[in-house]
Parts: sequence; C-alpha cells; structure tokens
Amino acid sequence: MFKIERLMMTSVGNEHYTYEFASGINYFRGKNDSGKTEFYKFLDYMFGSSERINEQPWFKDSLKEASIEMTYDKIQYVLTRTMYPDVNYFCYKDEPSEQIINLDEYKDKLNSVFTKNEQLLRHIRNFTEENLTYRSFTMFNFLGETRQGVLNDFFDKCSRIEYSVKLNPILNFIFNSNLERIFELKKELEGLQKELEDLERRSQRFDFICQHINLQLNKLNAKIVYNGRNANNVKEVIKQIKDMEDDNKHVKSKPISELAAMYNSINEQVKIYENTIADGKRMEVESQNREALLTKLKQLITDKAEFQYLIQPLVELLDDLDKNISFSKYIISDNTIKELRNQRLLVKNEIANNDYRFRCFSITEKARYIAIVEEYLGIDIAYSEDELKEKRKRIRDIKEEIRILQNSDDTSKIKALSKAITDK
Amino acid sequence: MQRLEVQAEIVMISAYCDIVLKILSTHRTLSINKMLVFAYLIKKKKFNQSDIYSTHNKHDVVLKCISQLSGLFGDYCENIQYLVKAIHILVSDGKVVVHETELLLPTDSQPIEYSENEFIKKAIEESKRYTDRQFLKEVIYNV
Repeated sequence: MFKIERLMMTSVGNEHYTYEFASGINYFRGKNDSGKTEFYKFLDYMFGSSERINEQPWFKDSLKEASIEMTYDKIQYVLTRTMYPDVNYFCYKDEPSEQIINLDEYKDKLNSVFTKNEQLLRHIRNFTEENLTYRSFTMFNFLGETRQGVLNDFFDKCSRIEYSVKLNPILNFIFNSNLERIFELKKELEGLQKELEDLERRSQRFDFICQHINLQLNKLNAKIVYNGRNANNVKEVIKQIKDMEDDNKHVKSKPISELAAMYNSINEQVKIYENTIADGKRMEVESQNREALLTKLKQLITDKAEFQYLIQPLVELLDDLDKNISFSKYIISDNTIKELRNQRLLVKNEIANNDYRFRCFSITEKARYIAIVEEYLGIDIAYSEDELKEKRKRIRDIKEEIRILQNSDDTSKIKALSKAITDK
Repeated sequence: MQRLEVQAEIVMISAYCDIVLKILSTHRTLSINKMLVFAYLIKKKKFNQSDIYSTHNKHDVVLKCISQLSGLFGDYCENIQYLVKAIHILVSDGKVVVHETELLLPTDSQPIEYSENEFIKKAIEESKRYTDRQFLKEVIYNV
C-alpha cells in the first residue's frame, strides 16, 4: 500500500507550509494558470526528477527545501530535497538522518523502496534490454489535463524522448504471452553467440595458418595449395623437396604478362563501374552510352558506306529506344562487379605468387621455410565452415523469432484491461 | 607503327570472325545487335580469371550476362568496328547470310566443333525471347 502522507515546504525565511494528502484519490482543481501542472511536476521532482526547479522564478529565492512523508508497505519514509539537485536527504520517519546524498543516491534509495520484486525487474530488463528503474514507470503516473480525451500517446512524460523509447518495450512486456519462450530463446542465443565467437576465432586462425603455409610453399616453389585438409599431401611434397626430387609435374600456370593483362582489364572495368556509381548520374550515363554508340556507328558508315546494311538497323533501333524501359536490376550488376573484384584479388595474388618463381633462395632459407611449414602443419586448425554458417543462420532465426514474439500481443489481456476501464 | 596497327586489326578481326562463326554454328541464327554483345563478351572472357556466372543461374540469365558489360561500354564501342568488319568479311565470303536484321548460317555450311561457354549459350538462347529493341535498351541502361 502506497500513500503520500503530506508535503511540507519550507521557505527561505523559514516559513512552513504543509499539504496533507487524503486517503484514496486526491485531485487538484483550479483556474487556468493557477499551478496545477506545476504542483504535480513538483511531486515528480520530489520523487527524483532531474528538473532544474531552481531556475523557475516561482521557486527561486522563495523555496528552501521540501519534504515528503510517505508510507509504503507500512514503512514510513521522509524524503527531502532542496533547491540544489545534489543536496537531498532520505530517512525513515522514526529514524531521522542529516546525511546529505546526491541525486543518484537519492534515486537508488527510492528504487530500492519501490522495487518489490527484483526477479521481475530482471525479467523486464532481459526482455527490454533496457535498464529500467522506478523512474521509467512514473510515466504511467502523469496524465495531464491537455492529454484528456487523447486516444494514443496520452502519457505526459512520453513527450520526452527518454520516456517514449521505453514505453513500447514496457507495453510489449506487459501484454506479452510468450515470456517463457522468449526467455528460453534468449538463453539459447547467448550460448550460440559464445560458440560463434569461438568458431570465428578458429576460422581466423585457420585463415592465418593457411596463408602462412601457402606463402612458404610458394617460396619453396611447391606446386600445391594447402587448404586445411590436405596436410598429408603437403607433407609428401615437402618430403620430395627435402629429398631433392623433382617431380617434373609442373602445373601449367599462365604467363605473368597474361595475368597482368587480365588484372588491368578487370581493374579498369571495376573502376569505371565504381566511378559511374559514385557519380550517381544514372540517367546521364544512359544517354551518354547511347550517344557514344551512335557516334561510333555513324563514323563506321562514313568510313565505309558498305557497312550500311549491317549498321542501319542498329541506328534505327537506337533512335527508337525511348519507347522501352529497362527491366534490369541494379543488384545484378553490383553482384557482377563484386565477383570481378574477387577475381581481381585472385589474379593479384597469382601475380604475387609468381614473384617467388624467379627468386633464388639459399638452402638455409629453404630449410627455414620447410621448418615453418612443418610446424604450422602440426597445429590443429580443424573447424567446420558449415557449422559456422549453421550457427549464424540459427542466430538470425532466433533473433527474428524473438522479435516476432516480443511484438505479438496477448489479446485476452488487452481486452480484459479495456473491459475493466470501460466498466469503471 | 602503321604496320603494327594493321596487324593488330587483323588479329582482332580474325578472332571475331572465329567467334561469330562459332556462335552461329551452335545457334544457327542471331540478330546483329545481340551478336555484337555476345561476341564481345566471349572475347572478353579471356581476360577473366574465371567465369562470373555459371549455368546454375536460372533467373535473369540475360540480364546477368549483360551485366558483365558493366564498366566496359567504352571498350565495347571501340570493338564494334572490328566486329562489324568481321561480320562484313564473313558475309562477303558467303559464310554468313544476312536476312533483315538476322545473321544466319547458309544451309550448306559445315558444322564447327567447339565447346561454348555454357552460361553464354544459355544466355543466347534466352535472349531470343527479347526483342532487339529491348535487348539494346538493357545493354545501354546497364553498363
């Protein structure tokens, strides 16, 4: 049972004013601009609001401090606040204390008073992923006169962003019938995320080790690529190198000049595309393309009239293009370019790998490379890419399910509330 | 220098003659407009490390194929002259017949053995569902 017993205000000149609250509902009546809203804002201040009342002309230089006596669960408390936000007092009525506490401590104490059930608070916290205190719930207490008759957004405090962002999660929590399930899913999600982290770490290590082994293998001019599963084959090749056997089975590799041409070609294509995107002039590009093609075609005919029969139909088509629209999807082009970027990287790597083909390494250096490969091969880097993918998918699914569950309403609860309000 | 340019042109034109004949030997007929694009793409493939799309693609095959022209339009325009010359040579030689806007193989031509890139093959087949105008629009718009 909660009740505000009285509000006591003390002026700078030590005058006292006491307002006694009656049991049950109290209401304030007054003319416009007589201070009703100010009164309830002041009550909010007493319960820990951070409003700067010392800037209000009607409190400034007149009010010194104010105390509220309240009873909650048969325990009586006295809360005192002054014009300075960080000078507050909190004590039991039968055990006065003069210890000054700052606003945060003041709010902490009130939070402990009003928190009946920590377990519930923890549930809400898990559900909303917000740190909610009793202050968040005061938004339900303030229904100002301007909001009367309003059907939504009728909580005064929700005009402030820090409250309005919390309202939805709280309502979702209150009107949710899937709390248990959500709780389970969240637990599973947490576990999965830990496992995923572990797997990702392993996959990074896997990449790192593969990369290193392959670098050394390149330096040794070994025609094998380590992929995490062919350790035995690699060992075999290493053994051959050690025994100085030349297997003569040279893998056909493209000449560097060809690779370079490939790289330049892909590079240019990607760059031109990226520039077009960066310019963001889609429409202009289309007409530019058209013009370029048209000029080329016309030039061909001027150079050699014989081509007329091949080119004329194309020129006619070009003139007629405005009658059609394109059904293309930009995603396709983007994908193509992404793929090309990958290829560019591969070609680049291949060129880099070829570098070692024409470098001489001494026996000691080679021995060192072999030692490194052997050492790395000994490390267990097994991890399953499928498992990683599966876990990622499961996490996505769970998040999706949680979102759906969190937003689904318990209609019977809502109807019951609605009925209760209507009946009253 | 002049000589080198001529030689380069000969190489280009003969490469395109080859490609055009190969395309026609598989598909029998294709419009000039589409031929230009596909022949160019096939030639350009040499500069790709591997294929971007495979035959696993089932939707938007033509659009995907055209999208490979992205960023290459300038180069494509440059190549058109060689392509046109190549087609002209083939036509003059009677290896290819032009009927309205379509290129056809004469009925008595010998089939050429060669394996075409499967994805392009699929795209060419699929492109027959596009009108020339629509196809050109996609090309101009996409690249």
